[in-house]
Amino acid sequence: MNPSLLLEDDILSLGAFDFRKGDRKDDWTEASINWMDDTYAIDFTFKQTKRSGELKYGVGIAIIPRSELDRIKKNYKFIGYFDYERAKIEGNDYHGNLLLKDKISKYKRDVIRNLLVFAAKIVKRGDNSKSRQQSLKRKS
Amino acid sequence: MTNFLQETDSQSWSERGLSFSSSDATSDIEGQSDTFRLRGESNPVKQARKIIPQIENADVAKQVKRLLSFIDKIVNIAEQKEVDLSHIPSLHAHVEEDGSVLLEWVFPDFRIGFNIESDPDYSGWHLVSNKKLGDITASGQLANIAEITILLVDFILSNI
Repeated sequence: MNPSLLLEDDILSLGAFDFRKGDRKDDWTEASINWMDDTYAIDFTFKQTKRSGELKYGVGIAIIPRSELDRIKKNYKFIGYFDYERAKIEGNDYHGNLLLKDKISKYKRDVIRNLLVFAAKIVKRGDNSKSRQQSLKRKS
Repeated sequence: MTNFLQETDSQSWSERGLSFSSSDATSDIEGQSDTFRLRGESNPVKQARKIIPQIENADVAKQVKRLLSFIDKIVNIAEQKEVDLSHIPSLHAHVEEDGSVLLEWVFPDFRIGFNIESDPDYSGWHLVSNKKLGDITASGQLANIAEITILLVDFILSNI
């Protein structure tokens, strides 16, 4: 996440979940994620850079338990509107996407984005690995 | 899951001895949408107002001003009734890439927001709470700004 995605310290903006059409040809929009298949996924994500060489996630990352994604997906109000996928890309086997139907109203989209924010645990760059592990344990 | 109704026929809400009505909120606002009263630092819409000059779309700007004026008015009514507003956080606002405006109001157990679009029919509101407040997931069009704003501010005052 970049600094503008933190409204205040540890308060995440809905903008952290930026769903875009991209190159998709179907009726979904996507927000890029990395699946936490192993503990290295966190360090891998922190090391990711943009084409310019700048760190992709300068301030930190948000971790959401898969169970929370399933809770949103199975919520009767959002069935058929929210999903997720694995989508490995070159150089990133962890890559995937959160998916949102492109025809969804913005206010319903923002309810889903809020549920994601509520479920997210922010891990800031610079948190040492020990406190990060403790933080993740507390979250789970 | 708590049921939450978007539409209501009620013209007033009464919680904690407060009573707001749509007519109270609208009476002083219509006709003064371009001006704002200035109050102290505790004004929760003060920060959000700062983005108004950044809004390029006149229709969006007009709606944002109107919404902030409604909130300001209702908060002012609450202040006059000596409600403690010191715990109400600032409303955050951002202009999005498509020119719309997203307003976010973040509380410990719930979040309220508004999306303001160039076509008012697509402008909306949302309220999402955590489990402590019953996992509310409510949203809808912002067709009746006065009633929705009163309802949402009343929810805030009842749950902070």
